[in-house]
Amino acid sequence: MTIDDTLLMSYVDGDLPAARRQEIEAAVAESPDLAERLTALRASVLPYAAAFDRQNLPPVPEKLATRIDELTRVSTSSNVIPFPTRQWPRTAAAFAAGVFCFGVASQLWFYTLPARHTHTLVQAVADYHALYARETVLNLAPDPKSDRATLASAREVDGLPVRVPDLRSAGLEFKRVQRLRFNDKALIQIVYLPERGDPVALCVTTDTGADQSIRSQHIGRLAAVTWQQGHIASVLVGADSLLDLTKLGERIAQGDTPLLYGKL
Amino acid sequence: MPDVLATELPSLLPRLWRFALRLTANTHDAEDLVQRACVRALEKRHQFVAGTSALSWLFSIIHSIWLNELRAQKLRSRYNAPLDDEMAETLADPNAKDPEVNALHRQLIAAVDALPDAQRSVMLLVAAEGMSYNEAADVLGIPIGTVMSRLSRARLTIGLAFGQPRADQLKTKEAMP
Repeated sequence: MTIDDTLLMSYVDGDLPAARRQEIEAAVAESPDLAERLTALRASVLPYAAAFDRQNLPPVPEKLATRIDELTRVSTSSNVIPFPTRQWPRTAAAFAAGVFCFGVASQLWFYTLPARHTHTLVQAVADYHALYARETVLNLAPDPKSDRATLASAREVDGLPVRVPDLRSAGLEFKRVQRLRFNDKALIQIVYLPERGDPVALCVTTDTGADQSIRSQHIGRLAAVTWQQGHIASVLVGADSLLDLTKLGERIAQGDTPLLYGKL
Repeated sequence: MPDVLATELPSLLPRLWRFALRLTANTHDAEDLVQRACVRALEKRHQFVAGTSALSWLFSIIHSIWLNELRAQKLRSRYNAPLDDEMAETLADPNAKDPEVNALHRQLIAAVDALPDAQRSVMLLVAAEGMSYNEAADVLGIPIGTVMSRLSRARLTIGLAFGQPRADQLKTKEAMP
């Protein structure tokens, strides 16, 4: 029988049956190295729980608690739910796979933005965007492979030829593209991060309505710019800040910006 | 889908905060980590299985973000600043009745903090959060055998550092009325 530290720990913690305990005691009696390790593991039986319980940590910061309350309230009211025909491994272990899992999931999974009577496209987009803080996307690593796959799916599956404007000239760094769903149609969300402040998102979906020129409005603390061209509706949304979203929307609508990922 | 997660999130916040704080050893990083994890959880809440532990699921998100994003980028890394000022000032419990026990508790926490990250994460889940080996395995996305292996190595290190006499002394102190 091979006796490793895991087995010795189980012995120390009294987790082994009597027969197994006797085997270990016999082996330890023959091996000074095992005896030394057993002594150390016995010494590791310490009041960890009491020590951590009494650790006097700083309380939850008030602004964090407020932020989480806002997030849960907004997420509840916007009712972002999954597209019902897709499945994804629902285990904590799958999530622990981290960025890879997240990136793959973003290619395969749709979120449904609500289409309640009170929800227009711009309202739904704004509600969803309110979930985003700067920290949400600040450290997202570039993932061109995932982005290209998402854009290819939008084009081939959804019939939505999405162009990703390069907005660096306006101080916006491209962070991520995601497929969402609104009114049973695909909606592509392209997220950018300014040098300061919260993210900006460009969302596009198909719409059979007539073309519409640029319109600006405010939804809560967010500014939103909408337009429609050739059965594609666009919403540019972000915090009402120093950035002139209306002017930026005009540039995007006029094709006056370079493109990332070619013309996918 | 019932909004169990959004309902439970605020009440779980103190435990998420403590776990993040212990992982990062830094109040700024912990705040960033918890906020990111909550946004991520709300975005991905369709992956949460009703009837399972929301806390474990949220811990797994926190740990994943810390491992893959925060720690990797070494933002205000614990390697650069073992404890930030706010945490260092509050580590000692002023209400502890026995200063010697209090000192030993602090040494014990410091010993856990000095462990390699993989072992430290397991110790935090099992020793600080009181999770079973199975629960810790779920949170970390690793087999239970790996949890036990990391735990035994961690305890070996701590046992060697503390030694039998000190352990007996501490247990005796704890047992005193």
